[in-house]
Amino acid sequence: MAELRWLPPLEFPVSPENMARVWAGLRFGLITLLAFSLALFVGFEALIDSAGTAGMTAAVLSQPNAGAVFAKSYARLFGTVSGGVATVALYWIFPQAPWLFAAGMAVWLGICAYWGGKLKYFASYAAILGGYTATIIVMSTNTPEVAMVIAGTRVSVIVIGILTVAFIFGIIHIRKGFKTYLPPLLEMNDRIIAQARQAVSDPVSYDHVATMRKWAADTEAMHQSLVYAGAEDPEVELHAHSVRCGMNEFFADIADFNIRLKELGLILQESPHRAFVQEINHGLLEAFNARLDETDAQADQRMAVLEKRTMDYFAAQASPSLLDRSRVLHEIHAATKLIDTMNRIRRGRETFDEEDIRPLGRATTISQNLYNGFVVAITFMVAWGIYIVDEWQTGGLLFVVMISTLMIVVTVTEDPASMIKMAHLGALGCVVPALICQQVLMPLGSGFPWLVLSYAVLIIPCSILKSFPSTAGMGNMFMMFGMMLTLPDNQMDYNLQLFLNNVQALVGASVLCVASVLIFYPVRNKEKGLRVVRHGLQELWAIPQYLRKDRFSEWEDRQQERIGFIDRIASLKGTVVAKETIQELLIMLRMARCFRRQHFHLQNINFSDSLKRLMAQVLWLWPRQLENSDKFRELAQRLSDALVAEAEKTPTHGLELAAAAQEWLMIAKNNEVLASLPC
Amino acid sequence: MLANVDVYGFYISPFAADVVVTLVIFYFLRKVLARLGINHRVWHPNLFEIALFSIILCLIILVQAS
Repeated sequence: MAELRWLPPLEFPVSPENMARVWAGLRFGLITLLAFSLALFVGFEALIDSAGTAGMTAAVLSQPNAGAVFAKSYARLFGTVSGGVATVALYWIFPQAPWLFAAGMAVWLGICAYWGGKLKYFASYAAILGGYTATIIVMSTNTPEVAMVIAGTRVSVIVIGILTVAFIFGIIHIRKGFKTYLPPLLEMNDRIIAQARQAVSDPVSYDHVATMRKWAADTEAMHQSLVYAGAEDPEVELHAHSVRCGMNEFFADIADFNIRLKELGLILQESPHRAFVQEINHGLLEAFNARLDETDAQADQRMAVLEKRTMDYFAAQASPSLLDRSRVLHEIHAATKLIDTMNRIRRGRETFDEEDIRPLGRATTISQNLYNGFVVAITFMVAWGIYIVDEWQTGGLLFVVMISTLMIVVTVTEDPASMIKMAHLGALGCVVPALICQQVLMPLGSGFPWLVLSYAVLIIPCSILKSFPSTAGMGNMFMMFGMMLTLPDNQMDYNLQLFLNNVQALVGASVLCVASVLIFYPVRNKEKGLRVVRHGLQELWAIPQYLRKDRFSEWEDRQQERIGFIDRIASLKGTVVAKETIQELLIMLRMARCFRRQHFHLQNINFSDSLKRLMAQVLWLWPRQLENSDKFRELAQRLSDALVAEAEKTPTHGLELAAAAQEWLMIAKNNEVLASLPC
Repeated sequence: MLANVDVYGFYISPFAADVVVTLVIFYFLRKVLARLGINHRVWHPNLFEIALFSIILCLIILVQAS
């Protein structure tokens, strides 16, 4: 198993790439400091009691990517307002019942954790924020009347923070439009060609799993960067939407094409048609090479020529193999579909597509999200109990806020056990800079400029952390908890005891969070993989109900999400479990496409009763195919043979029947692989 | 006269309420401007948008104050 690192590997001398990131981080830190000081200045000038919250908002919202800042700003506004409304409503419902109030708050946190795990990107952030904003308001008051005022003030200061950060980033950032996002799109074509070349030249050693694993991560990253690009520039948003629509089926298409290339290469290795298949593969590679210079009609024409050549080649054979013909035709169809999808993505840069973007959510199940909500609610109640029973007056409520924040942030990720390490490094790592900032630097001087300079100790390192993808999450935690510990207000005092009380609350929250995660999310890597496979299999058995275009696409999206999900579990990185799980998910994807295609090939054909009976038997065994693997394979093979025989008898439907026979053969082969894998 | 906005007993400062209203207006206006391709005709689109936002916000505050 690969070692799970607590910190990214340190290398000396620092590589130029990392050095560039450090400089970018420094620059970003100065911008953040500027936004922080402006928010604080406005808050102080407006004589708002919690002016520090405006500064905190500006610092927390600040991101190296300007698009992310704007997207996060909207999410923060929405989350804050919903959190404020929830707290005020709870105060009015349970004015004199602290335990009932706490239970209501726990339910609200559970709801936020549920949606935080269900939604993606900054929509998830808005849900998380809705949760812990509610607890922050609770921290500041004990009575409903004051809660109203506090909630209103908090919304006001957060609005100031959002405006200042948007103002600073708006002025400093220069829009680059699609230029920033084009390289990954342009590189897409070259990568596909390189992979296809490798699959054609050496199908045995071609690693389909590793290729698709990378595509799953890259497709997800592309979606995310398009979301940010859209938030940055409204014009890009329209095109980004179209590009994302085009990417709907990209992953499934490329998985299909890749595996067909490999399968065809392996099956026809010793076949007499090998030379012809190589010629066709060469034609397909040429089509990919010429894709950017051709119109859709020209691309279709090119594929039609390849198809005709295949038909002519097999027609000229003395005893044509219908199955081999179907294999080659299927490969051409898969390439046609992939080229069409890629062209749609390319067109997205000029068009406004109004279709829905998929995948909209994560592949997490409802039960899993409900479980997350339950875990957060229970942990909150335990924290509330500790606070009330121990009469923890100073720092007790901050402890409740911190545990709520940590728990929601940790549970909404796919891998809470790994996330907790990162969250702790950020949360506990900020203590020393916060101490230097509030207890050493601030008392040394006075005035607003000195206050801002003191905060550089906290903001600059945190910004550098945020500039590295592997430590960005840690940087966010660092900033948030650092600000919570040092929050400046109109009457600054540098009480060390108060600071230590806050640190005590932070340590208490960290310990409870670790305990909760260890209890509710025991670290069993194989279990994680198995759970994902189980969900995938359950949906594969139900595939006859998902054959309609839209439902089938949604099913494919969920499989794609599952692959990304496995890839994001840090503790599974580089493990055999992860590789096997992804392999199984890809096989399921393949089997589902085969099943759907055979269904459409055969739907308008009337065949003999014996064939119908055989088909009914195979379909009955479909959801039980792993328990009766040998029987299923035997029946699928028989069905395939019967379909080939039927194709020879009825030339009018010969193509469709042979194609369906080929699909059943592939289903049988994949079933064999699936049954042999240990997961 | 500017006074705190009372939303069922939930008091929000008038400035924050105005900003929220401006954000809603601005969100849709931004989309319309993008469709019309106005951003191609301005030197610094971000600065233009900030100025536009400020103008809308000031107009709302002025109308409210009067």
